[in-house]
Amino acid sequence: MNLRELYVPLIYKFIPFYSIFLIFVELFLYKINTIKGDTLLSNSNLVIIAINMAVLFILFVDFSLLSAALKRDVLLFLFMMMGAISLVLFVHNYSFMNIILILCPSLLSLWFLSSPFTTHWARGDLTDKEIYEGFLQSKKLGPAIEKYMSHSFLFLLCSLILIPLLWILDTAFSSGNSLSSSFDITKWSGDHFSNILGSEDFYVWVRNSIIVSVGTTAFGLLMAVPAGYGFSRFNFKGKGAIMFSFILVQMFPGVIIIVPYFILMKTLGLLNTSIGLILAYSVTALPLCVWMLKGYFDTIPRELEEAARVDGCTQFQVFWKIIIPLSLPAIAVTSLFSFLAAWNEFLLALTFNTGNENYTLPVGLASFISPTKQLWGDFAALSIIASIPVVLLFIVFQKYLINGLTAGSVKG
Amino acid sequence: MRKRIALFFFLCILLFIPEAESESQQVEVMEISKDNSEYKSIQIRFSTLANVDKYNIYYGETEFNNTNEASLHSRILVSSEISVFDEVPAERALDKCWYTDTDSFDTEFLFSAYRDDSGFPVIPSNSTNIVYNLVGLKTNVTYWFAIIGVDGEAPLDFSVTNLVSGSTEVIGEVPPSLDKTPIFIAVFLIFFAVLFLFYLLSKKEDSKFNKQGYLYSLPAFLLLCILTFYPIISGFYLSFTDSTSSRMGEEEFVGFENYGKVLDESAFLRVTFTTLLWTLTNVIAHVSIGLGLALLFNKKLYGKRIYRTILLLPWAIPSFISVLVWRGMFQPSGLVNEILGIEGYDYFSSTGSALTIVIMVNIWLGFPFMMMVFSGALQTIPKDLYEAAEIDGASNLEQFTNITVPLLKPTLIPVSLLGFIWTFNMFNVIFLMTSGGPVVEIGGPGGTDILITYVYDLAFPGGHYGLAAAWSVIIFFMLLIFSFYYTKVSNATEAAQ
Repeated sequence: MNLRELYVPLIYKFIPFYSIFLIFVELFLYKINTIKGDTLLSNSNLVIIAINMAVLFILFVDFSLLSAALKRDVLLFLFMMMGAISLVLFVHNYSFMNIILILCPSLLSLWFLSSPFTTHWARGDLTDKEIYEGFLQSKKLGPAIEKYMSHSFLFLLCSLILIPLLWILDTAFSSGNSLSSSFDITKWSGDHFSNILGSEDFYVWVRNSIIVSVGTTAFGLLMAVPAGYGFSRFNFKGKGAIMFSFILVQMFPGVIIIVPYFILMKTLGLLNTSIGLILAYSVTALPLCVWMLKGYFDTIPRELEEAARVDGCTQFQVFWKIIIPLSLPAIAVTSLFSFLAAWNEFLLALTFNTGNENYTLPVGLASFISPTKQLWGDFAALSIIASIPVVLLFIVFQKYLINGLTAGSVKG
Repeated sequence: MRKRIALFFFLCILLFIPEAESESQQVEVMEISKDNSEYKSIQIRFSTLANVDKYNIYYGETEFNNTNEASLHSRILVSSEISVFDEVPAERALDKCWYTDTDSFDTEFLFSAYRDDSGFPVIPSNSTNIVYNLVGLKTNVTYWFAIIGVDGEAPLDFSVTNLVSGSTEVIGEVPPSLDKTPIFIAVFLIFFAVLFLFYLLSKKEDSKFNKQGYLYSLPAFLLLCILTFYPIISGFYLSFTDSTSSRMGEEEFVGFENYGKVLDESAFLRVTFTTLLWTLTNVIAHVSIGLGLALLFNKKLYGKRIYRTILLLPWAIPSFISVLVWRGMFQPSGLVNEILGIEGYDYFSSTGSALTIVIMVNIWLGFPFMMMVFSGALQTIPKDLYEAAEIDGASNLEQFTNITVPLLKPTLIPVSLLGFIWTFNMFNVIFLMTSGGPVVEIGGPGGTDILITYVYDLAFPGGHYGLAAAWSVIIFFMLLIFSFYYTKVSNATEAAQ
């Protein structure tokens, strides 16, 4: 049994996926070619879409007229047509996309479909199951295909994620504020970085961000740790309702209360101050923090506290001297969480601050891109400076953050 | 023969007829109105010029001598056939423009300008004075303005002789008449009400030990009441008033008028539909991509750690940064056009492409969270279940539907419902990418506006606090119904376990 015969069931399973994928890609290319105004290419895209529709139609609609052998022949014909179209396009227009997406797969399918094995299958000499079992018996090939498929898929996905990051890197290091990117490392310069580090605004924004984030963390914990402990240890009347109110708050976005919030802050004279933002952020992060901490306190055995109380500790001493030292890891994760939330928050910071001297880093960063000026280079440099610490913190503590978040949300 | 000569001369004459050149002149009489300038807008007033078909308003943060050093803020069109244009109610348009055919700038003589299809103000050609509010400015900045009256095409550079400056100082922001006492009273009342409530509850509580629970949870609950529940309730009150940014503290009770306006607007259904489309597409994509990747990472794979770290990056990078980066890449001169070989196509000019891009960017941002949640959940499924299934001859698909999905359900349902709420409330992506644009109808929500972003637009550049509060209350009820459903379902799954 050679390779070509082994892949027959695979290719039959693969064809519909390939066709659907191709329809989407061709629709995308059609849109682009119409934007470009290239009628030849856009029409050929339409033809290829139509052919793929026909392929899907033949594969999934059960005609009594078409025997399996005829079906195979029609498929062969359609693939030949597709191959021919892409070949013509390749010769005339040099479109590299055609080779990868259409020509190679259609030639491959032609090759597979025309194998004698497929003919046997089409005539009904061999059942699907027999072929599939034969395929499964080969322990080597199945996993190998799976491996290459997953690697290529992951590679594609990772490049989709890395392209914007590479672009921002290139924009930050190349001089000028243009958007075009040459990825020419020899022309890189640190102009934008020295611009940013030399401007006063940068230090003001960083200072504001640090004050707000640290303040939020400290104040939020001061509220959340006792509340989490209270919810975890005591069974008081009305606890269910109070806890439900904490969950409920998590559902509602800041925007829908932003008008009354704004008026309240204005009345209390907290607009354009760090305290206003600290209060607002702590209350936003509060429910999740309380929930995360409650989850952790639940895991600390009650016997420990009882023993301490027998020894003569008051309840507050138990909390302060036993529970808090024991739950330091959870407190660290919670504080990291509220720190990151405050560091990245944009909407409230934009609304509550009207002057440059009160901007936090996100608002300052967004002010580089406005209808009046578009300083993409400086923006890129600042965003790299602003995100590196956050990304590092995140990657180092990812496991704890994810556990905390899912504990808070899934169980809630 | 004569005919030919005549034709020849005619052609010669045609050659010598000068091309219709565009003429530009600067508006000389212009003043900045200090009283009506707010903290993000400046009001300018000027007299019209003769033989002009539009006014271009240029502005800059520094002084400029030529229009090519400044940026074009907006243009006002002049038309003699005003009836072909739309009449847009003044409160619906974001930038405000009035015209008058008298010498006075009194409000009783001012008429709100008409609008053309792209939202530019249009004034009749017989008007003598124009009042225009320049919006979208930054606070505490001094701007320089020049208005050029143009007939025909606008010149690329035109030297400007006299500039007028205006500043957006915060002085006008807080109306002195604002009565603060009710809010202070409310805050104190809430404070004591919560204290009293806890006191009453602790009286009812029998166990001496459990009484301490009130003390521990009091500060957090107080904060929550003052900073969340009070704004929600006062939002309810606001939605029944005609409060705007300029009439705060002296608003009047108008009953259900705002709700009537919201439900009356044809855009209400459109925005709700966009929101649903946005939310459902995103959640389905997040869950399926996340689950697929988690399944992939659940097997042995070379370089798994590296892949996973890279795939986590969209979640780790602050979302406002990645959104702005994507916006940069989709600019007409950006990377995407460069890769695809298109010149200067603006992706944000049509609703379809703008919405597609916004959704794609949010998918890019959101799948890592789902991936991590599902990988955590997959690890809790015992491996011997799969081994047993394999011995029984179950295919991969059968294993997935009969083992993985049922065992993932306790995670899948709450997480996807949570994702629904998060995406519904996602503000940054749309606000920073498109700010709701492109314009679909003047003064109404844009093509990519979802409920949340539209409410923000109404409240902050627009200043229609009452109307925005009414929208908020409607969104609040939508979410409330949804979250009751959410707790019900998650309780049901917990009970089923």
